Amino acid sequence: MKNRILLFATSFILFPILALAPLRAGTAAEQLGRVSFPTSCDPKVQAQFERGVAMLHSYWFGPARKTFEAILQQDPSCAMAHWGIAVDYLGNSHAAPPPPKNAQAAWEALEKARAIGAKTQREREWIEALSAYFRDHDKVPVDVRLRAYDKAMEQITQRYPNDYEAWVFYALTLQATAPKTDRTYANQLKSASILENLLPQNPEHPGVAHFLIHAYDYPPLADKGIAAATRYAGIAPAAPHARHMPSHIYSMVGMWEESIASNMSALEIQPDYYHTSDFMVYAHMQLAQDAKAKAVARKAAEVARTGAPGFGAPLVVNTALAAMEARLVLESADWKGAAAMPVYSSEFAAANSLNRFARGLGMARSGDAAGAKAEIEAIKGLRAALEKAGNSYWAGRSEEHMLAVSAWVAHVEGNRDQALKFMRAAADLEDARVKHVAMENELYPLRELLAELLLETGQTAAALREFETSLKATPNRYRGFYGAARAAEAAGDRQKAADYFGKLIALAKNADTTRPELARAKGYLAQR
Amino acid sequence: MNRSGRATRAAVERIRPSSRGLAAGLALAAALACTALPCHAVEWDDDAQAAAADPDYAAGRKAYEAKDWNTAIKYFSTAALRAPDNADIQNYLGFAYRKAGKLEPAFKHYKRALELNPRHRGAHEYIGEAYLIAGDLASAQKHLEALRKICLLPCEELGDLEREITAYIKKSSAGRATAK
Repeated sequence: MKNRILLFATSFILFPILALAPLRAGTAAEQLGRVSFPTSCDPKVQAQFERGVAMLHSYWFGPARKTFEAILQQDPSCAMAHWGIAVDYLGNSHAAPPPPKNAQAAWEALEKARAIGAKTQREREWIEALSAYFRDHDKVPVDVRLRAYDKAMEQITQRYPNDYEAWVFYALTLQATAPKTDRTYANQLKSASILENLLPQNPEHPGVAHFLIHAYDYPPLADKGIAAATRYAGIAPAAPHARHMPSHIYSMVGMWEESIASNMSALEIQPDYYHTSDFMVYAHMQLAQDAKAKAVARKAAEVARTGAPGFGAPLVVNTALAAMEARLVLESADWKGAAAMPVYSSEFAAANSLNRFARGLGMARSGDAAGAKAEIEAIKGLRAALEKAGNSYWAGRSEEHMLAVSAWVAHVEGNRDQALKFMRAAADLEDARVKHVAMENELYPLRELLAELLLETGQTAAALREFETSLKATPNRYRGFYGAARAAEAAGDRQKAADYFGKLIALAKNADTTRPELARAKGYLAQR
Repeated sequence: MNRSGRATRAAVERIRPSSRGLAAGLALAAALACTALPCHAVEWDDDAQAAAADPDYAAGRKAYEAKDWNTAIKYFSTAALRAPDNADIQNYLGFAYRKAGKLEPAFKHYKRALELNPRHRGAHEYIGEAYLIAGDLASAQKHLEALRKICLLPCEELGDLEREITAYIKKSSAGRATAK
């Protein structure tokens, strides 16, 4: 593969037939990056076609389809516009397959493309490659069709090694076909290798930057995605997702200021992007900027009151709203506040479970074992609903929530062994699962809760180990640093305690709230 | 009003007036989200959420509730084409085949469900029961053991399979005694 990429790169340098031209020199509201996708369509629609493809690369579905439909108004013989419509119906191939009606609509678009007759062999191959995905969509399993599409795109790259867009789409299908259980991330790394090789040819390509972020959007790989994350928002500032997406990497590696800037920028053009507000709340809370976090959450509520629909899938809208509320209390260890949160009860059991978990944890940690047990029962009901809905992934999350709250109930009731057994099981379950590609922005690292429980039960060395393990997976967390400092202090490791307290103070250097942990950290360092 | 809005509005109605603050505001936000207008075309979706919204999955569930096993098999099989990694659909298929008296495909689907999600409590219980039907007590007991490890918190599946195994053993003992 490496050789093939090298060959591809060389051929591109030697035969730069697909010269890159600025897609559009416009304002940020228009910029979607630079895409060059030659077609046999009327030259007057070429720029519009490339704009549509750029929208697809930034997952701006819907507006992209409208762009291709508008092209057909001007050039009904543009077969590739029907291809663009079909790609729009495919949507985010990382996530779920399109619903049957969209799959049928995509297939019909491809049939129209065939009926019109693309004017070049290359275009016919692009149309057939996508047809491999939609053909017999009601009879053939989606993974089989996805692999067929991936294979067809790979073949296009072999036949047209200087077709830049073919490589980009192939890199994407490689990610979409990655086995969910593969912890070596082989497909993602192969995809990233292709994209990294494409990058120098067109540093402004929206798909290259975007899909690099997706390729690296896993904790062990996240560091590699920082460069792409930094570039992407500047490439396609017209797309809300392009402004927000870099924060997936920033949040995972603990670059809070960057995450805030990324999400603030997305909110400027999409104020009802609650998923983005949630990322911002999380980042502000890590910096002890409670006032700013509350302001973001309040603003989200105000925007919703205006009837703004919420950008993104309803599930994501609801998990964001439920999580935002919970983060404000959990990240400031306001257990009574967590216990007093109103019940969040939407149609989305996954979102409700986040709220019940926070309430239950708050009750257990403020001594209300009976209340916490009622929350566990509520989560149990939510888990059953998720299982009934065929939603094993989120049902598993609810089970983690039940175990974690049960651990703290057992702790309150003096059953130390049971508490640690439950909490360790919850943390292990969380660590064992591959995060959903949608990256719902984890609410609270359960291993950190295990470390806190160990610390409370006097197992200081074990607590320190767990805090440090947790900090590797979720770096630069306020409560992670504080917990590690306390564990080190209790274990008699004064140097480590000083290091972690120092990190905590540095992290919160722009805090807008007085938190007791900071006073304790300063006091400890002053004593030395 | 769409799906998201209906339920969240109901949620807000349950919030006590005294507890209204920022948190209540966010719950209200949820109620209003996706109500006035259709939600935007999405850049994510959740595969299982999609499974739940899948018309074939919904039809499969309806047939399952009506104990119309052959119809359930037909619809769940189609839903599985779009969500081949969904353990719950595989479990439903196993159950429907078992109830339709077709043990071989039932085992195939239960095993697939457990490959996809080794902690699937329902699949462990039902495959255990299927093994009892097939007269394979040892295999049923293996799944009982698996449930004991999974169910750190009490779970119905463990109790149900325990009862089935106990009943099976009693019946077998009684059968042997009668034969003597």
